[in-house]
Amino acid sequence: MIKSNNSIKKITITYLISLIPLILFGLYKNGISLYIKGYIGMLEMFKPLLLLLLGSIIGISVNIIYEKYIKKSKNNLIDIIFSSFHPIYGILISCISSINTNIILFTIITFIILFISKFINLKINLISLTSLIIFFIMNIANKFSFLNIYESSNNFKMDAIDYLFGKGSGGIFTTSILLLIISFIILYNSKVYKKNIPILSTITFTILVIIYCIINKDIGNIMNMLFTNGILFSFIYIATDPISSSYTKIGTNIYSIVVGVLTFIFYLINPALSSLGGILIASIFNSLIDLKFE
Amino acid sequence: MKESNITNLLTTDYIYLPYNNMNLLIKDGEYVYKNDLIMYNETNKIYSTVSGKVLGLTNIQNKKYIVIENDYKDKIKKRTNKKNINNYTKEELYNLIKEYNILDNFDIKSKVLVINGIDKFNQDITYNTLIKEYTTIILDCIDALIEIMGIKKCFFAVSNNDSECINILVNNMGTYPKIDLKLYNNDNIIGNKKILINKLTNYKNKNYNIQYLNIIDVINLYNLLKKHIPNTTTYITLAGNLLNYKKVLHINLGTNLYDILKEYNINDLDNMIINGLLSGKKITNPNFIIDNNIKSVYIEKIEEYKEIECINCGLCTNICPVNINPKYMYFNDDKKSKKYKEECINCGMCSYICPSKINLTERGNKFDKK
Repeated sequence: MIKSNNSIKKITITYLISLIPLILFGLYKNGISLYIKGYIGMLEMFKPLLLLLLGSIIGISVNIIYEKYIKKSKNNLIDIIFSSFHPIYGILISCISSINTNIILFTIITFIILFISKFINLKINLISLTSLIIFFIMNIANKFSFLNIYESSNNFKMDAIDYLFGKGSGGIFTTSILLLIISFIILYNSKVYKKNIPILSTITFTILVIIYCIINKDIGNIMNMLFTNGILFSFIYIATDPISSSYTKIGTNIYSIVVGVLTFIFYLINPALSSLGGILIASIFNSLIDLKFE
Repeated sequence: MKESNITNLLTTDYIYLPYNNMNLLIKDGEYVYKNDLIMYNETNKIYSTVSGKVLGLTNIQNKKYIVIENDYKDKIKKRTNKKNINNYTKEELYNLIKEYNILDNFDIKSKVLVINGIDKFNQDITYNTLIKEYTTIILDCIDALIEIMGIKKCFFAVSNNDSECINILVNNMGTYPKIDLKLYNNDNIIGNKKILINKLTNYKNKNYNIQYLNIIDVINLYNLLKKHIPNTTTYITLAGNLLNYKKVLHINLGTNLYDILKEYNINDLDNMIINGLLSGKKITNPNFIIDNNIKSVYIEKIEEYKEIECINCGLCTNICPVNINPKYMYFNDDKKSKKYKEECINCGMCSYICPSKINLTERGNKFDKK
């Protein structure tokens, strides 16, 4: 019978379009601007772009290797590339990565996790899992930080406008709150995008942060807690991964609240990895949430 | 594409009436008049839809049919009725409906009347075309039913996609103040009986009976009250992307689809779809007999898609008009999925919307066959 034009290809393209403003800003903030200020050399200026390209190439190559050489699929190349969300996973992993990420480590870990996931049908959030493994290994090697060389060598006191325009710390392409809002508006029009997840997760997390700051008499820290460490980016792009999030009407609401609560709890332990940890743990229970709260 | 009005196709060579081991009132070779009772059982009565000679039993797609050769004279036994359609009592109406077996479910105690003017399959144009063609007949009949049955509330649901149809109705509604016209967008399977009744009446919370009629039922009731004749014809939409037209056919019940295709020189027999493009059934044999359950025939080239693994997007659950979980229903076979299957109206929206191109409706049917 007739079918709608919804497809993985269409969803992936929507995600890519929504990411364009964030990517351009990330390239500027973590590449061009640092080069202009003399903090990095010419080659290093292209590191954000390289990570982004690597992420997408890994995602695409995992699909090609699996479909063409393991499943022996006879579909055309475009269908093979868009046979799963792995290309967008690769891109999102690069977006949330720190500018200090080791390129070789990033390539190896991302490829291994995405490739293995083709054989093990785990409904957990692969973006969070991969990013967390990269961060942990990086942390073992030396102290992990989201700050680029300019941010780590200066002290800033930031206000709301600074956060809106992306001066806060976070993953390479995640820091501008204003551009994140624009990206969310683009995604909001996609049928497949689970729009209630970022809204409810953000509301839950914000309420908990405000209560926490009021109790600790640290109201000035609210914006820093909300707008740094790629938390909003994670709620908008990573928590909404269709495969690893709940899909029923009540299930998605419960899942979103769980993501918000877990992110807050992890924030108290390690702010930089809080949203990824929260999403990963919530994704483990997504099937159970769907079953119980249908 | 210009949409034409109703095309009468009542002169096919043969008529095939479903036998179903009923009590026969005719013999092979006997001459029958149009509207003669041919066979019956406790629940059903079959009338001849043409006049002509009975040729006997035949087998089409494992079903037995009585074949009548059409003599094209449409001879009928005289019936006299001088009554105005408003001048019936409740009991007379009930007895007529029973006698001619016009409706399956008729509740004489109903106080709410729901008239469905929205096609069940949203690409069909049958009901809109009928409303435009027979506006006065339809409104007169509804008004008469309100009077006869003592109806307290009457809803007439119409699709808002056809402005011409709405204009005609609005211009005529002033004379029928008891009819409450409701306009709906037909994108969400609102033409389905269950969905429409739920939408209009919230019947679960009210303690009254609802009488549901579609536009073809209303026309049949009009003919019954006016002429005392049984229902021997139906209306179907003939359309599809392989035809350069979309039309409503008025045909005899028991017409062979093959005769319709022959009439319109349609030779593409690999792309025939019965009853809508969302949940319809693809047929390959044109020897297919049209009955009351057939609403449309599409000659449509449909793109073949390869199913991929479910991406858990939840679109099927969000779009489901009866608020069930199609993914759970089709991928499981337990008590919960059986409950969902009972509630499912088989609209095909879940299969349509699925980005993984999974034919959820077909999967459900496979489970049912097990």
